[in-house]
Amino acid sequence: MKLEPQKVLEVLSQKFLMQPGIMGVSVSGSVKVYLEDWSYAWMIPETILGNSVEIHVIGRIEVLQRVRPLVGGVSVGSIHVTAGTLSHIVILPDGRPMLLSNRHVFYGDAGTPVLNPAPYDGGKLPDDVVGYVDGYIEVKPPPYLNRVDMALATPTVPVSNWIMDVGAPNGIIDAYVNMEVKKRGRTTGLTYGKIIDVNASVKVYGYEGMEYALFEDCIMTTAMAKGGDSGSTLLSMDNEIVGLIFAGNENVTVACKAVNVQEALKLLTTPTVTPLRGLATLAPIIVGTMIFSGTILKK
Amino acid sequence: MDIKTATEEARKRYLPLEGIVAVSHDGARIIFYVETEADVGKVPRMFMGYPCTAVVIGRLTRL
Repeated sequence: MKLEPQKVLEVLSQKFLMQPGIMGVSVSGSVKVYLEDWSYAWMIPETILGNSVEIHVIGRIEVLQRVRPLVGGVSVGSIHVTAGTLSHIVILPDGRPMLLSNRHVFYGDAGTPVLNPAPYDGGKLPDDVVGYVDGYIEVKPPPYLNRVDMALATPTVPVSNWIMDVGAPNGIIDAYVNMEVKKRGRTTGLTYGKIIDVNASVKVYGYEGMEYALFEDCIMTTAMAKGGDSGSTLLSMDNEIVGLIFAGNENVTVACKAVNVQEALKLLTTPTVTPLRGLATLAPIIVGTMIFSGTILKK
Repeated sequence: MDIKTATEEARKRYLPLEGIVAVSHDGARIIFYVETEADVGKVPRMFMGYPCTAVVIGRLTRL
């Protein structure tokens, strides 16, 4: 019995992805299971749902290293930046997976290469290209009030909706004061904090071509991120997406609200974009000149 | 005037000032986040009928 690749992927994800030592699964071409090392190979059958299984030992996924399949919470950046964090994968209405991070992490015109690891962490052209900048919301100078610092990139490598050390995001939830939250970022890894404000209009320094940028309707948390953690997904303790981290200092961390990111995604990709829920999904590999076979998104 | 509108007015007036980092409210008070202790004096005690609080958090930068 042979099933559709998507069904095989769902079964694979449910059966294996929560098991220790399993780093990823894929149905790009053939069925592949990625292992931390060979000691876990005994768990993998020779065939799954009528498909032969390839085992690939890729080691333990670490944040600053090349990570394939690509997951959230790891080092990424366009060739114009030092380093940031991949938030997570969003799926467009037409089924295409997209990489989500901050605009200042995915900086550059549409078509700019995005690397994992990021340039500062040793990522190089062309071997470490994981995608190309696609749709984005430009951060504008005052008096404009920005709501999000976000951009999308089209992936060119297998991706998973997994966030390292966290698991799969599980929908979106509104932030509230005293909510306990966590994030996985390129610099400080998995950290925890508490929301201290959900209505903040903030002044953020460091954006290209302006003294500072203004953002409204932001979440402020206790300090839980440092430089290079930009783009980290802010999550509830139940893995619900709360926000997208983009600014901060040694005392506080600031995030765009998930609902505002969702609204921005709608602007870029009408109709609705929904983060994956539950099951990890690995995208088919898209290579070479075919990467822009779909519509290039740009505000 | 409700506190949301008052906070919006406070943002327009105070956020452009050097040392004022963020403006918000908690439903009862308008909260001004400032860079240093020296900036606390820039925060009004009352604004449009609402009490104000200053919180020192430092300058925010993109990460």
